[in-house]
Amino acid sequence: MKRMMSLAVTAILATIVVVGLVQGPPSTVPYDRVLELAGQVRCPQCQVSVADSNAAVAQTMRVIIAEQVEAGRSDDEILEYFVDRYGEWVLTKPRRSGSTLLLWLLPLVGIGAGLWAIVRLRRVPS
Amino acid sequence: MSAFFGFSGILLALISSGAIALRGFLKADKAGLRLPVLGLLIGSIVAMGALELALLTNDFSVSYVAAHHARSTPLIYAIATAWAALEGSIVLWGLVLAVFTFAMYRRDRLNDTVWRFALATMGVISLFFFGMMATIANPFEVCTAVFEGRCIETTANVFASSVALLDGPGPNPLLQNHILMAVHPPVLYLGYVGFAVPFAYAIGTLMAGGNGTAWLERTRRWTLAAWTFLTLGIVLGALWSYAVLNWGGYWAWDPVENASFLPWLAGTAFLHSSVVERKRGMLRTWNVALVIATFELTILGTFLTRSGVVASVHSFTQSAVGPAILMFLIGSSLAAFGLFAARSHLIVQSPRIESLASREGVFLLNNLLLTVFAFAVLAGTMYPMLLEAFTGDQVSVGRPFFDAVASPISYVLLLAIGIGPVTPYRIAGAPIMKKRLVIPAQIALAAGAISVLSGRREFSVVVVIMLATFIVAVITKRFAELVTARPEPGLQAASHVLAGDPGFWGGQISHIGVAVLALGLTVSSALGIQASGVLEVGETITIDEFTLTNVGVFERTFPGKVSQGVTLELRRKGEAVDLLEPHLSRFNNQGPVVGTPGIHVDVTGDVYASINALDASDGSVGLDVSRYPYLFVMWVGGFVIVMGGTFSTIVRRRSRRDVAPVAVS
Amino acid sequence: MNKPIQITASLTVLALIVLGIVLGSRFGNDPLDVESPLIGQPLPALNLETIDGEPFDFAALSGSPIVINVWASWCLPCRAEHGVLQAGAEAYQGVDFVGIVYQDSVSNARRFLDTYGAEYPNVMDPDARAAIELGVFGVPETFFIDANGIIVAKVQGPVTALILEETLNAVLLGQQPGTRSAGTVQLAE
Repeated sequence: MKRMMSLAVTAILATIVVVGLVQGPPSTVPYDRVLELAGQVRCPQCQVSVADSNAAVAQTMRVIIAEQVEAGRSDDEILEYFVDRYGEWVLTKPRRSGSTLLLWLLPLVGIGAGLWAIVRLRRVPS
Repeated sequence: MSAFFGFSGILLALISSGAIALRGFLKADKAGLRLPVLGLLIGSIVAMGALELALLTNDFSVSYVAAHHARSTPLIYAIATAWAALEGSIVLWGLVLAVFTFAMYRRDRLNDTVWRFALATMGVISLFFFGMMATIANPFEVCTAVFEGRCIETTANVFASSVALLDGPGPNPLLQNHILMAVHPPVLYLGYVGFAVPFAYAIGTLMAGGNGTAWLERTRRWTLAAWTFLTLGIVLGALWSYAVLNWGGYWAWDPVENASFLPWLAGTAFLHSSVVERKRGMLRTWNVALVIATFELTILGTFLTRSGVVASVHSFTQSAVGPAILMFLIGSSLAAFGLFAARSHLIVQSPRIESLASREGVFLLNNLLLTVFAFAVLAGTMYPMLLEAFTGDQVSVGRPFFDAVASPISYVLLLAIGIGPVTPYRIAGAPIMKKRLVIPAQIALAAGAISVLSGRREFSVVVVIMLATFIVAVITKRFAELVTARPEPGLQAASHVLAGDPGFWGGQISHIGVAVLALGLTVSSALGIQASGVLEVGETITIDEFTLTNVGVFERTFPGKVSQGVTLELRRKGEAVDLLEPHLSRFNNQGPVVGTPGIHVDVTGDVYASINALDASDGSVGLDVSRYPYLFVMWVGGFVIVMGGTFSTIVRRRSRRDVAPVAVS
Repeated sequence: MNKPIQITASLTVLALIVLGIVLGSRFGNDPLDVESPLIGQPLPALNLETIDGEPFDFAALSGSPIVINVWASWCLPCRAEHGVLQAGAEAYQGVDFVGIVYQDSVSNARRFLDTYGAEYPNVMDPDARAAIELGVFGVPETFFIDANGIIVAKVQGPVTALILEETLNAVLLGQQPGTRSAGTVQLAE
């Protein structure tokens, strides 16, 4: 009986959490597309993104992003605007294609190699 | 005068390092090493002392003072200037290394071959650093010609007739803007250099052809101390970045920040895997490889910071020091890994792991995740350079990549932190795991359900709330069980439990710190909000339940510094709570303008205001304002982690006689 | 020696050597030396006013090559470079020189021009929009536009007389010299 209770409590709590998360964020913080994009554009005179910098250029770049969001341009079009002027260098989030695809794969390769090593460690009697 | 003393100190330390290396590798007993170890210590103290003397007596004939000091620099920053620039930071590095070498000489009780070779290894490392000080990074050059207020010709000959500037430019403005800059580098260096000790003992063990786990036992507290200092150094660095760099953040995944994080990740992995070897005799080869990697990552970190090959807000400018450290990095890695490969067959084979569902299994998971984390951060940091070298393509790797890697790894790590410490060694049976984990898991789910019901729907926030609650619940439950099982009264029982296994409980304190830090970090970044605008005098900007009103601009003159800023009245729900004074400063009428934010710190969240434009004529200011809920909690977590490390380092295990073990079923 | 460790050790050595070569090759390179994707592209439309507040039309210049120098009064390398450009403007009469003033006040810019010379028009870029259009990292940067209005070269850092002459001669011969580094740029005041 006690076990059943425990199981039921767990199930109810888990359901609340899962349903809540699946519903997604009707949260108090509005999803800020401008800030999201600003985080993906590197400030030309600093090492961080224009979201993380308040250099004058970074502020203007945020304004430009806001204007283009307002004008209804897509995320890709807005990022492309900066790539056309500064090159791929300007993207703080390297593309998941071409010469930067490898970078995204490296952590997965690391996990794979590690798991393989652990499984081997378990199998091979030393 | 100070140049003479300083350079003599460097030479003394250099010669002593060479002698330690030679005598250690050849044959010497404790007495034979006494003189060179003392020489290294005295030489490095004299060098550091002479540098401070030169700074405090405004001796502008010394090249370092001429380049980085000004008469108007306040005392505390004048002292800190000794390590604020390239050459001086290497002097500090050398001093820390010398102190550790001396402590290794004094504290080791066995004085065996391993110890001798370990000291010799320390000798080689200090030979390199003092060698740099004596040649390419000599802070005690004598200025022989000046032009337009700068020293344009210097010589290493301390007897040359010197010319002194009347005054110098002063330290880098960013570094004389906050007291933390005086503290952060020495603490970080204590951590960096501290890992040289377990490294040296590992090398000593390999060279002596020894095996066994003795080197881990002997360096346990060294490793803990180094790790604790490194952690504190990183936390202080983040705090400095937040309070000084004026961009509203504390961690930017900047190459130099990554450079301090990499040895921390590897060192943390080592800390955990060494427990497995000491308790169960496993992972012997892995531990040696890991400690070598940790040490080499501290050198890589030094290289990235000192060489100027990566653009970073923290890095020093280019000099011959870069190539020298690179050579040392490559050379020492080849030597250490070469020795490791040649001698690894001597390392006694580990016993086989019985089941992955065991404490050892969770430790393996921990090591896998931390190693992959380090590998990914290293890859992200180096990728732009590698890609450009091979294809010529120029790319950046920034926060979105590192966050994408860090989040999933951190979630699993947090889960492992919750499960690991209560998982038995060898084989963990289902009944005992259920008994220890079901209630904490339910508490965690309840916390998640409460946050969902109260309107939180951000995935990261809800998940981290549950994981952090889980960790705290598991540890608290275990602790409470052990305490109540003892016959003594509560408080006494608690202290006996803690003292019975300080290594374990220090670790659990740190684990709670990690949970708290993760909570503060996630909540403050996921729920943080920004606002910006231009405020005329009397105008107000609103953020969350706060308003900030421009009540006027000010200009203040300090020795060597002029600040212009704005006074902002901060009201919470209409009630005045604070006055913020973000300002822009110019040092000695030159160099860049440095912004300092105005920060209202509150447990429930900070309000952070920084100026992006200021017009003194009409009193209008452009402001960026941020609200970071519960950011304070993150700093608390950081310091709790450090407390845990300190506890494990300092508290000695009480002997079995004092604390009789009490079985808990 | 056992096999896996042998393999791992060899790989480590290999990785270290590659790392050494890669890092070693970076010495002396400015980390901000970035190829401009604008080479071969037409000069973007720039709406700017001169230092005297008159509208300035870059399109009206077409027909002859243009040299656009981005500078600021707070930029130290710009000072030495400015004289080179003044002399260049006099020597190359068939080329239009224009200065773009980056993140600076009119009064400071004017004082700079009074001190170092003003052979050609200078336009203000108060919010750095033109600089962003041109993909500017810092100052000084100099762009070379051919007679057809195509950006054919960019020099990062202060131009010297030799660099200016080489680049301009190549542009006049119809070549596309591309991006070139002439030293470090100053990033901000």
